[in-house]
Amino acid sequence: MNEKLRKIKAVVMKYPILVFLTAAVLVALFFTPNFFTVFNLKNLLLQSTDLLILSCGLTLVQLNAGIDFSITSVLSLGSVLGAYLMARTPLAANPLLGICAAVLMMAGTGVVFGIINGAAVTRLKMPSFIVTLVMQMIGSGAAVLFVNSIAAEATLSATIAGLPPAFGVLGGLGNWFFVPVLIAAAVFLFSDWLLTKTRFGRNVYAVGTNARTAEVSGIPVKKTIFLLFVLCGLYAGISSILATARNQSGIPTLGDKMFLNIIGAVIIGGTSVLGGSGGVRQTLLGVIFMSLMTNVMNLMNVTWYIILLVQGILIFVVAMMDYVMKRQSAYQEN
Amino acid sequence: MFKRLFALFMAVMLTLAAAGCAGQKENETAPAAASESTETEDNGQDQSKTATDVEKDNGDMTIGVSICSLFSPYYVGTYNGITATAEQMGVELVTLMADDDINKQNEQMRNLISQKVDAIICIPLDGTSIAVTVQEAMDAGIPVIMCDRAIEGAKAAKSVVADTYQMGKDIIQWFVDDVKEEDKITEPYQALLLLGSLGDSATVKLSTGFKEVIAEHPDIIEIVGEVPTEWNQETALKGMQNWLQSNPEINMIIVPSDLLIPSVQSALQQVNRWHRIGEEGHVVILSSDGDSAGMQVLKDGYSEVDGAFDAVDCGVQSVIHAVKILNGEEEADDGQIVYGATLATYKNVEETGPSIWSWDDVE
Repeated sequence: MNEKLRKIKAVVMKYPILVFLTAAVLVALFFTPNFFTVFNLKNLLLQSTDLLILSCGLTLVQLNAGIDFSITSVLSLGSVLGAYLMARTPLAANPLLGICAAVLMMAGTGVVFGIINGAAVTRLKMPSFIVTLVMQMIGSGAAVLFVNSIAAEATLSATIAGLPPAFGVLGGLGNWFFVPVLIAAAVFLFSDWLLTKTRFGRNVYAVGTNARTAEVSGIPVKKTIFLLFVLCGLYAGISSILATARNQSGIPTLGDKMFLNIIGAVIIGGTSVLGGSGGVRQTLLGVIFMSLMTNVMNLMNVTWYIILLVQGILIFVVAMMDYVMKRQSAYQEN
Repeated sequence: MFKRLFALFMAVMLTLAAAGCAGQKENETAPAAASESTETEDNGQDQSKTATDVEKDNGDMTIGVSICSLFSPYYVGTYNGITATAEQMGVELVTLMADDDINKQNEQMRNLISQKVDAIICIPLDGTSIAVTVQEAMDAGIPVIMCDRAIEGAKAAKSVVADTYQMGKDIIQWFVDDVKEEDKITEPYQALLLLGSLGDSATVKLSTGFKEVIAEHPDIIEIVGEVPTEWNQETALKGMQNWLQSNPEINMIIVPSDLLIPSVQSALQQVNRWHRIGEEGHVVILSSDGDSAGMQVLKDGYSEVDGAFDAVDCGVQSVIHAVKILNGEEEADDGQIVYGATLATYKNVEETGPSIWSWDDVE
């Protein structure tokens, strides 16, 4: 019995988020009658997909003590560029070709942003905080300007609609809900494999813990950091595809309010803001928790601002625990 | 350590449960806050003229409300209309607010479908991108009533909508006619055009209406500059300050919502240009929405015109149509009830004022 308890304790220590998750599920059980319905669970899964992909990207960057604010603008810019290709160019006549071009365009937008971020951080030695914040401003501004200048004039609308119905498959509309879930699962498994099974993954943790030491021991620090940003950008591009398909329109403000959820999921999952510890498995739990909480509180008819408040408090508690535990372990080592 | 974790666990449970209770309590108090309905005890009875024709047993009806934002007084007016009518009719409400985020609003629509509400009243941020979830709700057998903004690309059960494009045209046209009538034009007015959120279809349409009529009368109004405000008063204020500094010849400000009137006032006061109509240096103000701030400056003689939809009635009508559809007294036929705007002007404010929804709050 004692052995069992110790095992549970070890797991909980590694994934403190499990405590919160159990609490959320219990609340769901007792307070919300419509929680355990097929429609709602499907719904919950779908709503988590792009958050999971984005958070995996941010986890990668954060493992190296970096940050990427620009992912939300990749969502918006990718969304309008892709929608424009599918709905307002000659490609609209050939839906399949249009979808392929749009998918490439959206993923490409993410990669371009990643390359710029990565290059600025590694070559110009700029802090990622500044670079990605600037890229976020540029991306968001460009997305809104783009829609208002050329794309939207035909319909007087602030978004781009008229996407081919087949594109909805990527967003899980109709009976295709497993498509985005599989895509998100693939991204997650790939990231996890990358971090735990490859030399690149080991390098990431080494660089995140102490870049100087890593450099001295012959790890290609710059290359590692650069690749992390590119991957993060690519993930944002993929996420843009799923979110655009789910909303069936190109939305210039798509990512504007999302960052809080993304960083919340990563931190609450347990990846350290100081870099070097954590991983996408923790982030997966964080994502499930964030989605679950919003969903449950929606079902309970809680006002959005209260949801925000509760999320804020919980993120604070987890971040605090992270610091306290780090300090404790440092103390013990001394 | 384990004890501490257990304590933490309990704390989280408590927080979540408390949040849940807070939400439910709010749900109970919200309808009571709406003014005129507090005295009605039973399902609406005689004193309510709106609800008398549909006074059946609506007790077990639940209507979901998806509202894009509760930031502007206009939507608060609409929401008050919804809650007051729902209480009169004995309908339960579930409200989700999307904080001006299209993606979030679509998610919340799906959460309402999960909850199996009987009908949904949707006040969308954007009529185009909400189409996908409106369709899903309709497919799930939940009638959706669009309130304030029309839907594009799907069929709703009913739409109670404001025609912002036409209102934009009407406001400018009224001013042009007024200027011609008074024969006071010597050279074109130099106008500063404020824009709302560029991701918001109703606003984009309103501005389009403004611009189309202005373009027809270059001898009367000339647009000097545009200030994108993103519905942020601070952004609006700074934008106006910059323009008024660099272009002192500006003598007209066109405002997409009375939400920004306080910013307009303080920007003009800072450059000492806040004067009544007829006083020297007066800056013409053309506005819309008809909230109390806008009506106040109109009544006090600072602005020329305020175009207003009946925000409260829009909410009232939405609930009535939802209940009628649920009772089978009306078809879910994608029918549109289009609202025209009332123009309250500096000339007729004493007569039209009382018919504007916010008049009770005007001193």
